[in-house]
Amino acid sequence: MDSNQDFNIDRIEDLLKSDVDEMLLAYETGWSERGIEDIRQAESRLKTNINNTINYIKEAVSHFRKLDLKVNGAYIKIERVNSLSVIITVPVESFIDEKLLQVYSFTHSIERHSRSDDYRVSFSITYNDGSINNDALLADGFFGLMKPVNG
Amino acid sequence: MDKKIHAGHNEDACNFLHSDGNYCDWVVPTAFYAALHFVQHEIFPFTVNGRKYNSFDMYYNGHYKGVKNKPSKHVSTVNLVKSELGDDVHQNYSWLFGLCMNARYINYNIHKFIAEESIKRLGRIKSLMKK
Repeated sequence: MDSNQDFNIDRIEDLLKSDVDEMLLAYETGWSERGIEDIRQAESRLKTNINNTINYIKEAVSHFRKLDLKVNGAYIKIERVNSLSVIITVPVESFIDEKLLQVYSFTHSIERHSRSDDYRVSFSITYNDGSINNDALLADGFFGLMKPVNG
Repeated sequence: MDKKIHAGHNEDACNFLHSDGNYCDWVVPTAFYAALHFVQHEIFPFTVNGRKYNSFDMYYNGHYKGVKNKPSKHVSTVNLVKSELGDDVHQNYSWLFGLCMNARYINYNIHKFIAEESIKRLGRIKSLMKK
């Protein structure tokens, strides 16, 4: 993957569908053993929270673009039904750009204003210079959401 | 260990590793954990809702008692940094936090200029501490 490749955020849902299904499947394994009685309600909450998180990622990516900063990856992890983590990756030149600091205030605002008993999201940012370890991400429960635009 | 002493200890380790030049991957966590202890030293004792907490652990145990959806301890620290120490410290702290916590996902491939930037961010955070 070209680490400087930009992404088409408008296609995230289409690209994400199989990832979300896989994520839910992974999370639901052992669900009954963990004692969640109303699986349907929890699944509905989880899907809502995933969709909300995707929308927040889109907002964050738009903010990067406003600052003329590129994004080259986004990863989402379900920590609990009501808590998700997001990693956004950027090219290394964006990571050391002073403008990036403004993004942390933006993502913190998302975290603060969206939090409730039913939902919490936490953003972090790192760089991807082509050495991203997708196996390590997946092993820790992070699913990649964005794929490069072809052509 | 006292928080400020712990912060200084980690900062010394960070500078030592940086001076060697071969341990950029270790410069980042030592910079981050120096920053963590600097900011926790700065924030505590901390009073919220009429209750005084002398340490972060006391705060985390007390403030989130009975809360259904509490943040991780690291995220809680980030939130306190934002609310109590302001944007400048929060932005630089969040930069170090993301780099440190996600280093595994870039195979600990920390470039020398990123290690140097980490020390710069730590220095910025430290310069903004008043205690």
